[in-house]
Amino acid sequence: MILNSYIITYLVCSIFSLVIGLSAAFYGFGIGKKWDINNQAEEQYRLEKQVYLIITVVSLGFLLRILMIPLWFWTLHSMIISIPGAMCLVGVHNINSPFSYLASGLKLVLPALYGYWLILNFLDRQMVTQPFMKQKLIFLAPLGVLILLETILDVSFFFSAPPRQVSCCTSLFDVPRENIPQIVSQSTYIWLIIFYVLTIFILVEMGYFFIAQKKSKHSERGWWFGNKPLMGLETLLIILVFGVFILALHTKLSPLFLHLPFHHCIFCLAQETWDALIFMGMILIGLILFLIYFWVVSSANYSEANPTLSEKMVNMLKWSGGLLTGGLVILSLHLFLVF
Amino acid sequence: MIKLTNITKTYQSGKVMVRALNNISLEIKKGEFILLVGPSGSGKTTLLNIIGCLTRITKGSFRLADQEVSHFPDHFLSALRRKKMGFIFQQFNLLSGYSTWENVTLPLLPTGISEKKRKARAMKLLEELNLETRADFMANELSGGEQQRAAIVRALINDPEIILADEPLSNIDMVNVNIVMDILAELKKKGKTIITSFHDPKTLLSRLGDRTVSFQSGNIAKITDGNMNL
Repeated sequence: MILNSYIITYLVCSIFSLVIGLSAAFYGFGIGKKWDINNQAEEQYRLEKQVYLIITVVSLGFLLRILMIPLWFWTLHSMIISIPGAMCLVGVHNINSPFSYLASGLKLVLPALYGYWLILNFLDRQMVTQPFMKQKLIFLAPLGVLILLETILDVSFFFSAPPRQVSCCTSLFDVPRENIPQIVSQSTYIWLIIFYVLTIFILVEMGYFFIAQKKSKHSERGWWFGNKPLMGLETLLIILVFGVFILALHTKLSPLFLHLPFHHCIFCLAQETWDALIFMGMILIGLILFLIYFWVVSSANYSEANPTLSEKMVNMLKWSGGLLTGGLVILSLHLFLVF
Repeated sequence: MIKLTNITKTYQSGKVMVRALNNISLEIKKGEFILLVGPSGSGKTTLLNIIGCLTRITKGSFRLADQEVSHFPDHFLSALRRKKMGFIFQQFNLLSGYSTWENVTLPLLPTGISEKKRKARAMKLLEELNLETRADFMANELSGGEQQRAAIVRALINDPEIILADEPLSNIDMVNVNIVMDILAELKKKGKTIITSFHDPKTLLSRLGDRTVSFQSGNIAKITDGNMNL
């Protein structure tokens, strides 16, 4: 077991986050089942008051989750000196791989899901009928389960992993001679090219939906409103783009930006190249906002909400397009400077 | 402007279910001065609370400015109160730890108006009600009449369309009764819709009313056109 002040701070935050997540899930699910907007009884009024409490709790949970992203990586960084063989976060992750990578992935996924909930809540509160109320309350249940899973992963990572010799990120000095050709062949442009193609495709899509969403204000509904298969496809596409982005970072961008042909470490890239964190963050948030856009418009009752929410949805597309384009421009500029 | 149709309001008091209003209907036009009269517990305050969106109806329909508001979520009702309504209470309800101008600008806090603009607006209204010299006094340093005038300024600070007053003359002396009456008469001239309750039918307030609604045990006993001319 490894224990230091960072780990203790992180675990306290993690337990606090779990309490918030589980209580919001428990009460949210209970309210969601009883919710009936047409009911004038005092019971409905009581439920409404509880919803305000849940909104406050979830907002607090979101802030905590945002703070927990850097705290998690600082905590992992603080463990480097305690783990023989670890030189960066890859080595720390290797204590308990692949679960540690899953835990790190959840650090990014959970604030995104909280963000989706808060955006849905913001949109819901714009309308007297509160069309997304049940949807947002029930959504807290899987969110709670994911937080529980993440806490279990974190605790098992910190407490059950003994300090032992681990391998770390690839560098010129610790790679066995026979593996060098393999590492060189990994340094391919193919994933970077696929990433550019897919991102430009998504930007074109955003442009189309931006124009169509603007027009939809004057029509009864858009063809993509309430379209679950499209939402499924877009979700898969965005997960694919994210996966390809990670591969592009790993195979080509890290060695290029770190000026070390055999160094494929994304963590070192984020730590040593200041703009890498910015373009990674912008691309990630841009993709998440686009995904949230689809999750909102695919709701069964979005059509009735569109006249009120259309402008806000257009803004969401503007932000997602702006962030994705900005991230892509910073990445391209850096690539240009490297060459 | 306000249309109440077959309104019933019940609430739980311990183990007993109390029916505060029983299937009442009432329509109030813009600019009307409505007097609600009746003994204590007859339902006047409950009706004021319903019109003021402070409580919800149990049954029936409540339309305000052509919108059915009985199903509005609480944050919509808050926005409605902030934009359309001013409240005057029997007990003034000023916060003793704050100065007069701070008290009267409280309804402006959620609007995001700067402190400078809030104070300027408060001073203008305080001047109209001869309270400008009391602007920096703490609320508990004001006399009863001054407190009620400050409460009226607080009700008017958002320039509301509807003013709801719950027994506004009950806790002030005769001199201040006349002052408050003049203020209400002035507001009526400006076209504000005023709904006020009082339990003493001899009060001078009845001179101002366009219609008088008499309550008895949660029911409307009668509606009299014109004031009671006592």
